[in-house]
Amino acid sequence: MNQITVQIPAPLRPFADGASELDVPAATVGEALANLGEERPALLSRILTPEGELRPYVNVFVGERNVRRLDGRRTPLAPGDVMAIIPAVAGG
Amino acid sequence: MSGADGLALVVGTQKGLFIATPAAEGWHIDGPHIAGYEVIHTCAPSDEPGVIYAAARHKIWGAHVYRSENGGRSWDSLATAPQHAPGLHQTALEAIWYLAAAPGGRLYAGIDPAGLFFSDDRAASWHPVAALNEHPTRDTWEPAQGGFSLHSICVDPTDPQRLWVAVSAGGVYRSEDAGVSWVPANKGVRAENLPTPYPESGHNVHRLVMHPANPDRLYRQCYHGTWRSDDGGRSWIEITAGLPGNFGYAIAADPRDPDALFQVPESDAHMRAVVDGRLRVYRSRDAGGSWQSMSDGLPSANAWITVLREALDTDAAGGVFFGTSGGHLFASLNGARNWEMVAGFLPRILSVKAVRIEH
Repeated sequence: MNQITVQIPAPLRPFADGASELDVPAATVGEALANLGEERPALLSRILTPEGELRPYVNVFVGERNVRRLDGRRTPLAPGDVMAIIPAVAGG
Repeated sequence: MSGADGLALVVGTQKGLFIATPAAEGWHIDGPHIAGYEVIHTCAPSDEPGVIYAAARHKIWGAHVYRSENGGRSWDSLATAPQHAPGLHQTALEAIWYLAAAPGGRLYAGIDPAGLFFSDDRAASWHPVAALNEHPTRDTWEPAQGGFSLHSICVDPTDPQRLWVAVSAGGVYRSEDAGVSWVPANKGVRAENLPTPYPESGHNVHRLVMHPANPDRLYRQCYHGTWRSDDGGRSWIEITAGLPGNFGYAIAADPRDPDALFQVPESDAHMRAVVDGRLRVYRSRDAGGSWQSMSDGLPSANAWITVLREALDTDAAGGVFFGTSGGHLFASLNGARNWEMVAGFLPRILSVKAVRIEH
């Protein structure tokens, strides 16, 4: 399976043992998130709602493209892709 | 243990949790813990010394339950949170509003959208209290300005089968069988938010408290008045007369005396601030028959703040503690005879819980 890199934003690093990046095997964004959260449930629960959807103010980018404008969690990943989790800049 | 020995105030704010402890000179403030999160409520099970649970919420990262095993010095985010099953009651979990610990280890949680849940494994998993969440009167419930929450949970310490909860807006409900069945408990309470003056349910109640030494004695602070029950919620008597306003959120019983209670009056539903800009705590020693201002040491002018529903607490040593929307934390160690400001520049205070921590 493809090995990709996930960039972790600073507020979530306490739930990723302090890591700013983690490498996980995944063919899709959904698989990457599932593998990321397998041993880090507190991390995953901050990215996805209890219903399993991306939280409204959490964006996931593959390269420079927001997966909401691609195929969401079914967006395919290629080896070496960088997937960034970035909180939306909302409000004041 | 008496007086301030081992006392700690667990203070939930809009930007994290703080622990205030009396020191040789003044108070020591530790925090923020759970930094950046709204800490809406905390609870400390009496049979697990040092354990504290916290209900936290973040605009981006969602609602979560945290637990400390060491009196609040460090916190772990737990993996699961109470929530409605998919397809029920606007499933998105807005907030965990209230946590309560019953004798024997059961935890209860009240959430928004309004619902009651329990855990028998220290918050590792949560289960809905379906008889309440699917109650036939649920169609009389609706969101209030602060959200759509189940926010008060009282458990009879001598008989954990007996429960009372409050919903905003929805009213008070009681159970005699550990939540298997529920009946509305609003008889005698006006509902100015509804066209029917005395409906069975649908009331906008801000806070419900039970006296720990006499669990049939309940007090409720509503949108438009204060009430007392002497019969476990079967009927209610209005006790607003003597208070300078009929609006308010915070009310607390004095654990030493079932007839003693404290309340922070607010002007009205429009202003939602203490009356006339005077921060006053009112005390009754006759179960609401009469009230006295107990405000020595509190600002008497230009205090346009509010005290939220979970932000007033008492303890069995005569302590009374509260926090304000302006981030002021006040303490009295003598039954509200006088007050000192523990901290003046905390974030907006959402909850205050007095606990005893062995060192």
